[in-house]
Amino acid sequence: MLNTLWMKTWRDLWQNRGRSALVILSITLSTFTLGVILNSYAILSREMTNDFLKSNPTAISFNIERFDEDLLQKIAQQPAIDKVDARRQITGEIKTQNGEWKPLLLFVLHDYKDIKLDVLRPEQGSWPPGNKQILIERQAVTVLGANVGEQVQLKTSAGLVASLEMSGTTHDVGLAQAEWENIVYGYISAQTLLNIGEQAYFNQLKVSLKSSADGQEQSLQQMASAANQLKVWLSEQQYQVSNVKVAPPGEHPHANITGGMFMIQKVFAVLCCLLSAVLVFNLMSAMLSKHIAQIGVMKAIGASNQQVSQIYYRSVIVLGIIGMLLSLPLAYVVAIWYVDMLLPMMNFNVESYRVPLWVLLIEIGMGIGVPMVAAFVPIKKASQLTIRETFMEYNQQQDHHANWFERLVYQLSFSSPAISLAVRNSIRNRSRFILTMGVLAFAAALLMATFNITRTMNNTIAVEQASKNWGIALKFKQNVTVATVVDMLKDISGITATEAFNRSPAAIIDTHDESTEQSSAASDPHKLLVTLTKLKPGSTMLNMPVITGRWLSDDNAVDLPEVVVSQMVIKHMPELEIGMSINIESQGNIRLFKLVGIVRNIGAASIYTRNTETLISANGLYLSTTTQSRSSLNQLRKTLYSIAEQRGVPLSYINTAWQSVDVVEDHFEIIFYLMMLLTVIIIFIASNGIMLTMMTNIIERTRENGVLKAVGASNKELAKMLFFEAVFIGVLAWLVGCFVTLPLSFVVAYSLGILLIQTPFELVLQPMVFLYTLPITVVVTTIASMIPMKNMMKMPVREALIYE
Amino acid sequence: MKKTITLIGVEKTYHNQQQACSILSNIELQINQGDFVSIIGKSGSGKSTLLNIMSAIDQPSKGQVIVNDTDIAHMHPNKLDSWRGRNIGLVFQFFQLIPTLTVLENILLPMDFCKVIPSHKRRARAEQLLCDVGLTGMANKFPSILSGGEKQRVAVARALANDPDIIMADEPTGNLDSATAKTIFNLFCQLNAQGKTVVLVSHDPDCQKYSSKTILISDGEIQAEPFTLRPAKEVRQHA
Repeated sequence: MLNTLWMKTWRDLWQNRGRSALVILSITLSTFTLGVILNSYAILSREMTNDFLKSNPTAISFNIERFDEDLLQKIAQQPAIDKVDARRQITGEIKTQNGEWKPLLLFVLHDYKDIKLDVLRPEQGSWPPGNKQILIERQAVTVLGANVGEQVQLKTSAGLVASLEMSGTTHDVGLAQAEWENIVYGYISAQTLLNIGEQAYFNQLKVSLKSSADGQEQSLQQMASAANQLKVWLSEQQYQVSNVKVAPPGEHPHANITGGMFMIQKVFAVLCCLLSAVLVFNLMSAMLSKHIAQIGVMKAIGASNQQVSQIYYRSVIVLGIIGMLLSLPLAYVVAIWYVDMLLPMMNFNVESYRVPLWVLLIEIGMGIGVPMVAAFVPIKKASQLTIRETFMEYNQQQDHHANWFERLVYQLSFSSPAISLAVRNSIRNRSRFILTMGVLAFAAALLMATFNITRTMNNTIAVEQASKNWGIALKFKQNVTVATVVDMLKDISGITATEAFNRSPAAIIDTHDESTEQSSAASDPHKLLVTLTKLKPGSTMLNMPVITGRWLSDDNAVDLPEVVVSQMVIKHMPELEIGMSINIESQGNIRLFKLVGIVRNIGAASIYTRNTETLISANGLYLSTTTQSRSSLNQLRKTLYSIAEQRGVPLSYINTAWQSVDVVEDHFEIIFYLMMLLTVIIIFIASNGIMLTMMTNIIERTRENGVLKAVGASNKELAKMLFFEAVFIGVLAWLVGCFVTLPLSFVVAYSLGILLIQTPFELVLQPMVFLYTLPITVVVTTIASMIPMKNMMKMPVREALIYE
Repeated sequence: MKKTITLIGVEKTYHNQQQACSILSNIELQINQGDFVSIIGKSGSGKSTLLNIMSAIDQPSKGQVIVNDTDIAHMHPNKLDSWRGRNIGLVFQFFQLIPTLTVLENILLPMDFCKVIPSHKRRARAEQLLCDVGLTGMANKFPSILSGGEKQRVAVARALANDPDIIMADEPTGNLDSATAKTIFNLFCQLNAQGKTVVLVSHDPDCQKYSSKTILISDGEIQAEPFTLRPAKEVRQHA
């Protein structure tokens, strides 16, 4: 049988079951939110990395004009190389089930039965793809809309047309999500490639590196250095390398978006803990204020401070355990659902939904520890009251010195004394008022911040787009005569201007030594591989948003050619400063440049400089267009592909101005929905807090309300007072929230920017959201005060007057 | 006769922001074991404060308060509650029963706090005490359904839970009708007859009829030496 102390604990909780339920709900909700976040984080981060690593991800990939198996054997013999593999990558288009042609990335693997790097896993149908068959990446099936066994039509960028049987699906974990990219990934055999009229050679070299002598994984810098050495070696062997990509070791291609999501989730998890703590603090303060007399009696009959504390700590533990029992299984189930929902976006498989012990320990800590900490102050304060203080009804008798705010509120005069009383009632318990209003203010601030961040992200995209005065960029496999291509385009409508540029892979050599022009690039270990774009003198096609320094000038009299770098370069080489001289190696030449600016560019690490003279031949062409709309540009892109095909122009790819931002736009959208979801949870917890506060206020003022009724106040009048009290708290919370959201939005914009685009977002406020939030806050407080209002109106005057 | 409660030069002053307010001054008092003492005086005279000081609910600003050979005026505040639970049984005007505990549990509560009575004997003792105060069969009832007199009898049983030598009561009949008040006074007389020292603060003029000593307090001072109205034995007979 339970002893009397436990009986008291249980019965106190049962007697205050409405309030106990609210606290259980708050603990459940916050532990649930934390549980979903932690469970999903633990599963996602572990499984995503495991699945990615299982595919033997490529460390360095080279786009080479053409090579065959001989090169593979030669590369494999190099001492630093662990594994080597080759693919042929062909761009083209594929006809979807609804008759639309979608971009296609077609791969021919060296050996489907012995894939060494970026391993594909069969999903459905036959494996490997046979002659005149094509495998489709599993995420691209929805883009294509075809089923296994059906015929699909495709055409390569060289204009070759084929009809192949979709023999199955496969999983390629390292590729960007096909649905986001609106692209189809297909895999065919070398025989099929020959059958559709293409020549059989490879153009993608993939390598992974051996661990260093001490068994450690290679660092990014070591990998970049090795990549550069290989690139130089390949050039010496007469292979034309058009692009080099070094993958950060063990980092999944979606690491930045998941990082952003996890960061938001972690922030909200901490907020949930805080809000839950505030609610428990409020409940315990309210409950203890009702128990002051009982505490006095218990002390009078021999209870020590410790024994009194124990009784109330037991209440907290009981509430915490109930909250946890409700939330833990639910959090696990929802976390699995959440992980499953994200799987298609991230395109990886989950082998185990096992949750590590540390997650469980944190959840238990949250469910019991946080309420215990929150209850510490009110319990300590109450248990240390002397009996005399409890008999003097401590709460009401202690000296209370009004601060400036309270004096101000007390001076407010309204037409109705009921409203004046309502407003004054709201601040009667200072700490409760501050905490309740604070939580609500924070929820309002979060709501405003969510919209501010959305506006900021949209603005970032808009600025990125505005920096491009071109609509289409053509990239050729090799240098072409600019005049010839321009002439080819002259009859195409929608093109207003053209401008040639040169783009090539390059390496930054971090040295200040002037003599580097004489030294070998391969001997230098400190390199970063980037894309170098050379613009024509006086070019207006690009005007990137400058983070520091300035954009390229047209002054030809400068000592050194100027260069600006994107923020991605700074991420890897933070030591770079404006005014610094840097050596850049490109196409076998090393040249000294002066760094004049750092610009924001969504995408890979890039460097921009000016050509000293107008280009006669180039490997790229910007086209200014009459419109920047997505659909028009996509249409123009198709036309250009078709014309280039007819004229035999060696196209590498055609990009619209939207392509680089489309991916991040999807990422931004996910971030917005995630923030909204979590904000709604926080608002719910805050409204719970308001309800709790209003209930506590009403309970404490039961006798006073009885007196008001006795002197003629109707239920309607009392309800009106409570409504004004809630509205007053809501309006104040909104006002405070308006100020709090400014630093909050700034911090979130800063952190998210760093995570998503490697540079802080420039915060842009959404002025209208300040107005929208006011009615939302007031409505939330009004709804939250309805249950307490109903309870208050139900109590007869006689009972209210004798209420103890 | 053994001295149970001795107050020497006790003063009590409360300080608020503006001024110091003297509640008790120069209190010299001695209560012997087995006494039935009533403290009387007008409202605000300081009688409850005196009882609070004797029961270690409050501590004096000055002077010594020796109860059962212990100077409780200088005892560490953290130890006072436990000491009180073992040595003094308290009864209040408004009964102060814990509403969420049954009658029996209310009586068990001080035993659980102080652990003077071995745990296996507590329940039986609580039932016996209930029987002693005439509430057999009410053990599992909650205080809210009891009458005022019944509540106060539960409060007396609770005061006796740890078998203290001294019972103190502040206006124990202040909230009861006269007939019920009489039964409560009789209960105190029975306890006194069993050897308990009883100290009551009361407005009730009947109180003096039951007590062996009466202390009159006025403006924080004892107006007369504790005087014996009649021998304790006679009081018991009257009751």
